[in-house]
Amino acid sequence: MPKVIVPLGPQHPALKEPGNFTLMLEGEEIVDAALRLGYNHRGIEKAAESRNFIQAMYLIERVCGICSHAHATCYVTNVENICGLELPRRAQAIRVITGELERIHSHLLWLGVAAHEIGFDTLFMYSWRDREYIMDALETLSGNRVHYSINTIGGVRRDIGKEQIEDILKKLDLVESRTNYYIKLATQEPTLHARTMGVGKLPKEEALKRDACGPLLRASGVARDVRKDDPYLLYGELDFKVITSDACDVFGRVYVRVFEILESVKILRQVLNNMPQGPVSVKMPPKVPAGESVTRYEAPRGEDIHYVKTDGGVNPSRVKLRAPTLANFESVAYMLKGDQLADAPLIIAAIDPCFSCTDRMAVVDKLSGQSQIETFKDLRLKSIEHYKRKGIDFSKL
Amino acid sequence: MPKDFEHLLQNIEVKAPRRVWAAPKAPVYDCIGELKAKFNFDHLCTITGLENGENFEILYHLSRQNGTLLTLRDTIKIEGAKTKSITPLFQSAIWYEKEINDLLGVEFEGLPQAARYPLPDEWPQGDHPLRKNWQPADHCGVTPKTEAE
Repeated sequence: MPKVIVPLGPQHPALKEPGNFTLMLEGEEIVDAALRLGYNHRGIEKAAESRNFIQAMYLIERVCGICSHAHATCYVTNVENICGLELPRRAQAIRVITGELERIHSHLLWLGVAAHEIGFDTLFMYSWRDREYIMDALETLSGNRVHYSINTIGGVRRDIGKEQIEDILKKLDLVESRTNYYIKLATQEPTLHARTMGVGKLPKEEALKRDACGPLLRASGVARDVRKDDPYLLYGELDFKVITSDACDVFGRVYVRVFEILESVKILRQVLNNMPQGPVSVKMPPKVPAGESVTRYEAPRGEDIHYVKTDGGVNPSRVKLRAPTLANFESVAYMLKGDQLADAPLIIAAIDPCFSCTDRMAVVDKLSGQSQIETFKDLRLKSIEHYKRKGIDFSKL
Repeated sequence: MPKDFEHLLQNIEVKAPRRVWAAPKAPVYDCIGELKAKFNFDHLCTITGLENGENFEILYHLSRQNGTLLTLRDTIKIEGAKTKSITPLFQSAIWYEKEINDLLGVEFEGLPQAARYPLPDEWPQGDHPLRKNWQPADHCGVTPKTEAE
């Protein structure tokens, strides 16, 4: 049978963000896959070098719209380490609360996306509805739904009140009961089994060989979680389990994420019911000394690692970040091989990819290798011309 | 713990709990190979590349199950910067090395030739945006202005 090459992406209805997967097919089976990434590269690391430490914090938070707290916490921890700041316990607790709420909303979002990919849109609607409770809780806590900006160098910007604690606890009860329903559904629903079991196989050895991380690695039976292995904030004192599955397929990844929601609820209850008293921040020194620091953080999608180097000036001299999705792409190429073309979107979605996290550094607006300045007006005129050729006139608009 | 590594590493510093910094004594490839095989540093977190004024520093962040994060600092000259790729040891290094290759211009010997990352295919050779003296050149577009401007 002749081999057929199918380019999937960079713009493709099955992918929520741009990425190119060149799939070589024999019939319906994928025999080889090549990846091309970088379409979302925005120059954030370079841009951070020309911002001061506080400005860079807000910039780094915008690396990702879902694990924004993960990136911001990683960055501020590095700066705090360089300054030698001791973080108050109440600030640590608030960072844990935000981090775990973020994990729940990210996992619910992923569950919805995965359900949508397998054509189970009822579950997609349900899980996204439940996610709203968590988004509301994050809004109550920080004032923002997406980029919480709760962090500041030396602590957090807002304290948490008694009413907020009660409100979040109530929402957690609701999310917990809904998650238990999803667990029942995931273990009993035959259509979900049919679409996820045995799809996107990643054996334990292969996952380790490819340095996979996060729920993808745990779904291949490896109990690795930065919160346990290299505890930060209050995680060393908290009681929670690292969820693993030996299924090594998409079903295992559903299992790990759904049970992780329950573990996050458990962590949140422990922290919210025993909030340490005291201040929520310490003062940042006027000058950040020269130094360097590296921090790891278990983001919802896996290990997030940041490196910051300072030279005593007003700006960081190097900020490096590695989002978990980049670490998992080697595994995607492996998982695609041997599977059906129809399963490709699901396999890609199963690592919970975040392209804007992954592609974050270099420069914007490359225009066909020539120097060319296009104003908004020029672009508008071009688009009007384009549609005129197709017989639609937008010039009156 | 640092004593175990004395034949392999120099300038060993423990800056915080579970954070070890060091420079390799042997060529960095051999050093990482031994750390992986004998000391269980079996997870490559990432590779950072940076310019410190005179040289490039390539930082290999390796971790093991007990939470130790070892940062191995390899210093190479900017002129004709070249080092051996560690992709035979860690497959995931392919993305990190491609990134340093594109953004700083360090050549990795043995890095599999495939699509570049993260810069566009048409990006000119020899133009590395993360270098300290880099200036946006002609091939970089300018942010579109709004109509009001």
